[in-house]
Amino acid sequence: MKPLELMEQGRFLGEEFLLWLWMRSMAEGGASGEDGDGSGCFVDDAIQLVSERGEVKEISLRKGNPAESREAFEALARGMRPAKMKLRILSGDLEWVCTLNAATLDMGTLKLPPSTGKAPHERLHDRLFLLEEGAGHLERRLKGFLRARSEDPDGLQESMRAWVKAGRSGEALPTGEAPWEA
Amino acid sequence: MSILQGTVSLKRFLVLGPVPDPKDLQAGLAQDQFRPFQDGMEEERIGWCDWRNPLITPPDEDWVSQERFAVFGLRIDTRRVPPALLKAHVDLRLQTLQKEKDLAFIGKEARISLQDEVKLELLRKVLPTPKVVEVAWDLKGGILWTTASSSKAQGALASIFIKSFGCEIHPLAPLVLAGRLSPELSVEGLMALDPLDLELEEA
Repeated sequence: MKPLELMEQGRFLGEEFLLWLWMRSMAEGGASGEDGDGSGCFVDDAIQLVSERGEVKEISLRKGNPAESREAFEALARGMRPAKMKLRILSGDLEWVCTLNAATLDMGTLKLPPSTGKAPHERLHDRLFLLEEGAGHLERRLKGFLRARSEDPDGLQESMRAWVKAGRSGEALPTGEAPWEA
Repeated sequence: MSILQGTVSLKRFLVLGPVPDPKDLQAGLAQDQFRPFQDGMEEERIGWCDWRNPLITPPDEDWVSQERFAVFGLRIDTRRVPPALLKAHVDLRLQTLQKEKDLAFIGKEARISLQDEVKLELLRKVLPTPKVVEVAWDLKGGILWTTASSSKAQGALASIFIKSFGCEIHPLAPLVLAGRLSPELSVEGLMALDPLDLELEEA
């Protein structure tokens, strides 16, 4: 299969991964679910939702807190899917911010934690290390999602439907503040 | 945008094919190093350069090797004569030619020939616009990180990569990444999954 065809075939998985990250950022404090991993992954202030059906094909929700907005959950309840989502990953003192693309899983507009290197090659090593660390946090979560998706697709669908329903009615809001708001 | 500093948009590719040894890697970089425009009608030039400075070609061997990474740049230079400017120059030349030769009309072939001549003269005066795409190749993990964001830059990278190193690069899209992270799950099995249905009835 050609690379572009493979990308199109896998787009739905990327969209569902973003949904899963979104749900976990609200319901599980952004945890990866892996033992010993204290990192958190949260949806930040930008979500782009798309649909092939319906009168509205694309919605862009920006600024404020789109992840907990009624507009977002109403769009999800109509069958729209996240095409891009701005994410914030926290691990200890380190923070990554990027826009994750569902179709390609590319990290756009990626802001890395500060580098301590002074010389160009030191900076390069630092930045490459931080790139891989950031990608690692996403990949651990992708593994967790794939496991849930393949082992119990019905269970995952039910829990996601319940989350969308609760979000649409306003019940799904987390009890605490997001860490960056503290 | 740069891997070295600031905010960066990155794409990852899976590298397929045998990893070249350092000598062959450097030979590939030297073979397809960036070379400046010569006289002629070429509007684009592509080649490898050093990640520290796009004027250093071929990439310096001592700076390419960064632990398990090979780091270098792909320089894409374009030079264009703005169409409106080209037309303005050609029109003036045609008028001068008609006056000099006392011609009422200049045929299509002559016009095309004149346009090419004018374009060639103007191209010599145009400064090329350089664009540098950074590449960090994890030689052990078989992953390529790049700042190539447009499909044009990615296409150029894929073509020159196979020419220089004999390796294909494939986008690390969801199914490909899934296959790498969870080899126990078959890609065919994942492709066969029905998309989750989250549509709810109207409240």
